Amino acid sequence: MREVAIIGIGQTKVAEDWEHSLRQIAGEAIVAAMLDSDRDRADGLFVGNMMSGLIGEQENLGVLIADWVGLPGVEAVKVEAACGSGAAAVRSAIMAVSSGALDCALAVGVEKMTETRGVDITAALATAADADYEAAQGVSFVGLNALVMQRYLYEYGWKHTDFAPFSINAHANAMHNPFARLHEVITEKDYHIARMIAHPINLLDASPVGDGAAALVIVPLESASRNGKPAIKIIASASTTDTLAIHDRKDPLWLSAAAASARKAYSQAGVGPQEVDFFELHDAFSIMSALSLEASGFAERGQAPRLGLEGEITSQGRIPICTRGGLKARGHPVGATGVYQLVEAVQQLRGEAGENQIDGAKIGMAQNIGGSGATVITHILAAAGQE
Amino acid sequence: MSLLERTPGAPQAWQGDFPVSNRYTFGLAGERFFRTIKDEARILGTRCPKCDRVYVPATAFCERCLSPLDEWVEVGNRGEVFSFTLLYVNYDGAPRQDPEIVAFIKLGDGGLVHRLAEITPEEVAIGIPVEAVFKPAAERSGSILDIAHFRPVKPG
Ligand SMILES: [Zn+2]
Repeated sequence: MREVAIIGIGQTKVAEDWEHSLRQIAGEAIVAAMLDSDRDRADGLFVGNMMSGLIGEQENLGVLIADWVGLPGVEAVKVEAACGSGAAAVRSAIMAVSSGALDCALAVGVEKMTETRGVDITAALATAADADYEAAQGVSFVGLNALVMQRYLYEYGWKHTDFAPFSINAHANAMHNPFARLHEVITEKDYHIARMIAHPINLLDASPVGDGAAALVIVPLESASRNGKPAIKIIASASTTDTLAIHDRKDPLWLSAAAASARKAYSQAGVGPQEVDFFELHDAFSIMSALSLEASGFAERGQAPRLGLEGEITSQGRIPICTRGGLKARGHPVGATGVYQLVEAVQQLRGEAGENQIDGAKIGMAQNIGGSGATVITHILAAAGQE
Repeated sequence: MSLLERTPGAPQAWQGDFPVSNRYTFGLAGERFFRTIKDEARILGTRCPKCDRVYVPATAFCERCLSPLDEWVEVGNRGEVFSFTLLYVNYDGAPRQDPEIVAFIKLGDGGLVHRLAEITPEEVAIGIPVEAVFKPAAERSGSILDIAHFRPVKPG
């Protein structure tokens, strides 16, 4: 297996973008990533996307986008794992390059969500649940997360407002990310009075969907140029699954797939949570931030809200999370999200994160989740010369 | 004449509708689970004797030890609220004044996510006993919605 590195990144602003089509925004992210690298060709394209077929009536995205960006003849496929599609596509690209099958692979995550009715989006998102048992009742995704959060509050005795720091931190960080969907500082009072969606989840617990695309150029580390921007090494890539329906979980408050995915990633990278300088986690809902931190070894079970309350998740804290806004404020164009997380991790490790820069960031982790903790993909990246 | 027989005089197309039925299968265990709900208004689980665990909804294999499961047990129509949520937004995104109540109801060692009714939001709490209310037999179609909702068990 060859060691693999990221040498180019590109992204579009997460937005309600009615001016550009899916292929246009995917193309924009890919062109930006290629220009950011020192390559002008790739020999494979992996597209992360969840719902183009359901709401856009377009599939076969691999060739659609390869054709659009002028990569005739390359291998090109779509990879789908619900909200984890982005990181799943990146992982496919990594496997193709590390195995020697390809020498330069592009991974692009892309989603167009805002040009359709809310009911269609809710129905499309619900396809990530177990259709026969869970989705038939019209229980939305937010409803399933609310069931988990309610039980968490009950078992561990936290108040809803103890989750405020997760959303406040994400919004504060997004202020300095020009590609974020929301540029709006929020306070604990805003969080407290926000409109209820599915008790106890309110509007400021939930991430906004959006249109967006992000892309990475992935090559063997040995072929990365020493002249351009520093290559960022991929030191772990681990994908795991849990039961699809939450009623089948032995313990709905424990993301066992996230725990397994993190454990595998730490073992591949030869590092532990104490060596990780920042963590781009999957904060689709604030409860997911807590469960992800616990499953990945940054907090004891039931104790993750304490990290927020003690300021440990901010850029000055022990484990900064959502350093460029996270899903909560950068936005959550579902199939693109996992690639945005990695683009942002590369920015941190190159020292290109501006006001959001984590001082001395050497090792970064990103975790992308599809379904209610059903598919979990963890990547660990390191600045060159670090592992 | 069969539709499959091609004869020169046969019409190439028909105008109008004709009924076509199809079969949807829930899988080995799901088939019996849903059929029993539909035909008998009873909720079944499957028990793994090795792990002493009752799967609800029923599964064909134990997810812990992978044994095939053929011991069917009736778990009754009563369970306990493991967690609940009050939905203030409809499926179409429109806000609603009175929330819809949805609960994760523990049955056997598993459970179901379903609606709670005949109860006010103030009365819902984790741990309360609830029972399934089935649709009338004629309206049941072999779906999880054959259970109309769950409601609190009346004392006595
Ligand atoms: Zn067993």
